[in-house]
Amino acid sequence: MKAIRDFSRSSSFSLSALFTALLMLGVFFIAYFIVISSDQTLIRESEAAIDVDAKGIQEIYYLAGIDGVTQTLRMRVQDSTNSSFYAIQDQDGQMLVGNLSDWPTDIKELRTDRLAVFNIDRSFVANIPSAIEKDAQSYNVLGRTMVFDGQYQLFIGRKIDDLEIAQWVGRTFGWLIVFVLCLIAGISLWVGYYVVSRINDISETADRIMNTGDLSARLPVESTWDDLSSLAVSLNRMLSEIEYSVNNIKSVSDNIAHDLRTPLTRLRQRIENQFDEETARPLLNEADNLLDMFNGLLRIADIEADKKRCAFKTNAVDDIVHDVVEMYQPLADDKNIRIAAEIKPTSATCDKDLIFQSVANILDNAIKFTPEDGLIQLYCGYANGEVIIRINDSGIGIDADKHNEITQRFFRDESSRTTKGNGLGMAMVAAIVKLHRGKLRFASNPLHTGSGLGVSLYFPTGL
Amino acid sequence: MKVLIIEDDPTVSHFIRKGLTEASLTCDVAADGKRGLQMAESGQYDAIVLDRMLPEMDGMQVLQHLRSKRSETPVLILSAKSKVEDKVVGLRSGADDYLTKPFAFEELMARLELMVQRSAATPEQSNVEVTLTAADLTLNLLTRKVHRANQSIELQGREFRLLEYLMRNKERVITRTMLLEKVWDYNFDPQTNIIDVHISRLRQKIDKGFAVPLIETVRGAGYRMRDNIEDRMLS
Ligand SMILES: Nc1ncnc2c1ncn2[C@@H]1O[C@H](COP(=O)(O)OP(=O)(O)OP(=O)(O)O)[C@@H](O)[C@H]1O
Ligand SMILES: [Mg+2]
Repeated sequence: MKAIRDFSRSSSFSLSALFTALLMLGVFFIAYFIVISSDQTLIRESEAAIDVDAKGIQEIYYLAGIDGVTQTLRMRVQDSTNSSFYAIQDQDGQMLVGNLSDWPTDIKELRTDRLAVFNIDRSFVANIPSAIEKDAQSYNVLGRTMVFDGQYQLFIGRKIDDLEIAQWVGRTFGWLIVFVLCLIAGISLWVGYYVVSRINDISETADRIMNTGDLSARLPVESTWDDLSSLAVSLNRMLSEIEYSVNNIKSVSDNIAHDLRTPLTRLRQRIENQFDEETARPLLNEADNLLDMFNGLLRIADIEADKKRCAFKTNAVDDIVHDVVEMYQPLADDKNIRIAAEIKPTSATCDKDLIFQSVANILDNAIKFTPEDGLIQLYCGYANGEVIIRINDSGIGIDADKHNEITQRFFRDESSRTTKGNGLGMAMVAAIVKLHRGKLRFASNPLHTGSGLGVSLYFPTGL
Repeated sequence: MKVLIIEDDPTVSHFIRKGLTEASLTCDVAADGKRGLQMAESGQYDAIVLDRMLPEMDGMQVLQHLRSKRSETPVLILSAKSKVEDKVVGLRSGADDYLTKPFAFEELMARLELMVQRSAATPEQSNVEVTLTAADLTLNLLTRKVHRANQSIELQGREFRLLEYLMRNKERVITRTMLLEKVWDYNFDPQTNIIDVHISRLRQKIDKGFAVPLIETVRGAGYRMRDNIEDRMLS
């Protein structure tokens, strides 16, 4: 299982998403600014200046006629702060004054009073305006023409190369910032993703250790620079420590098994040797029972510890259940208990011996706690994609509020003290069910006979 | 019969040795794998009890060395692990039987005897057999018919297999665990005396009404199928 199954629900993602959103807001503003500032604003200023210029010249023409205009333009052209292009020609196409040597062709096509951008080659410029760059090959000029009395045609132009450079710089920087912001947004998302996937790696390993019980597994440590890796390093140290202690405990308890077995065997022999048959029998039975109990406890511990599931194979569960019924049938026959079994073809990945053991334990209880002439109903099949084995009996049953005590070790209900047993059978079933990632459910009076217990065992078909 | 015990835990080896000596068998003990292998290679033993986990040399390695040298001494593996896969690996590497700790001495004894008997029998003997006999009881493996003193007996599937196993190992002690493993083919721990119930059913069919019962209970160990009974007692 992944700790963070959905990347978009992690806190790292929320944070990086927030950053991204803020940055995107910035990007949006800058982009807006770029769009606004491009062409329009700056160009419009130049347009306004040209229009003002044109109006001024027109006024001069009205007051002082063409001579006044030529005079003014001549002065303007020679002025050292001039940055405009002027040209005026008469009806015959004769240039009167200006800093253009000729009327550029594309200006000829221009309709009067319309503003347009021209590219004027340097060869057309007779007298380069002193305030502008001298060594350019050509100039980008925003300009318009106007006609006085149908006789004289005037061209006014302003160089807009500088404007374009300013615009280009503005735009480039704008896009650069946009790019940087996008980059930051991307990186923050990536960092979020990196953190999440590292956490997932770590928690997957942790889960694997829990599931398999393989304490020799270690968390991945990718680098030394990130904090998660130092966390993983210290967790790994902890794992080594735990592995060491667990191995210690294991070797001790493995030995206990035999250490206890030997004195018990000795006890048995003493009893056999020193007492006559009649006295010895019940004592021997006690000793054997002690051994059985001990074996049962060890077996449960064994099943609980065995998380590797090595013996798991695909088995026909129906065959196993069949064999259990066949094995326990004589026991039921002796009490004239009818076993009504419905066993459907069922297969699952499981441990054959353990499934046999658990069904046997449940069926054993059902027979044990059902009086003569009773009924036991057994079902084996699938339910919601899981294997279900259900054993219902018409026996003495057990109070519903004690159902969750049934699987506790050594639990035996008051009502069942007279029967044989150690109270370990259902504890073993619970351990086996847990190993199979299944669940165990109890029901009271399942056959509507007034009493009885129903035990259902579910486990997934595959692991 | 001479038995070699290769076991590092003195408690266990002492426990086995004592039991074997009481049954008037001779035995030697080796406390580590290397020493055990040396002694086993001398070839003077009828059976070897081999612990899986040993110092110097692992029990499985000892077994592999032994089998690679064509030694056919029957080997019973002892192991603290009760997992099935261990058992499978053990038997596949050439062990003859497998027993998990803790075990009852009677269990070990019964298995040792059976193991030695089986390895002594020539293969033809067991293969060609079509009918098994024990005293006046006969079991035909082909027709699946069972007769006692010419009286036909009806047996169900599992009862037949139970009887077959007992008859194949007649005059040997067979423990309940061995029956579970061999007749039912499940490695499990019955909470009840379920095997006894099956045996008593079988007795009902083959011993009831006859003067001499053939299935004998061996106290503290299991059952034995009797064979050597004088004819005059049977009739
Ligand atoms: N089918 C059932 N009907 C009524 N009570 C039951 C049933 N199954 C279990 N119980 C109750 O739950 C207790 C625990 O059952 P469990 O199988 O663990 O122990 P046990 O059968 O008493 O002993 P063991 O199984 O070790 O021989 C029983 O003693 C009994 O009180
Ligand atoms: Mg029980």
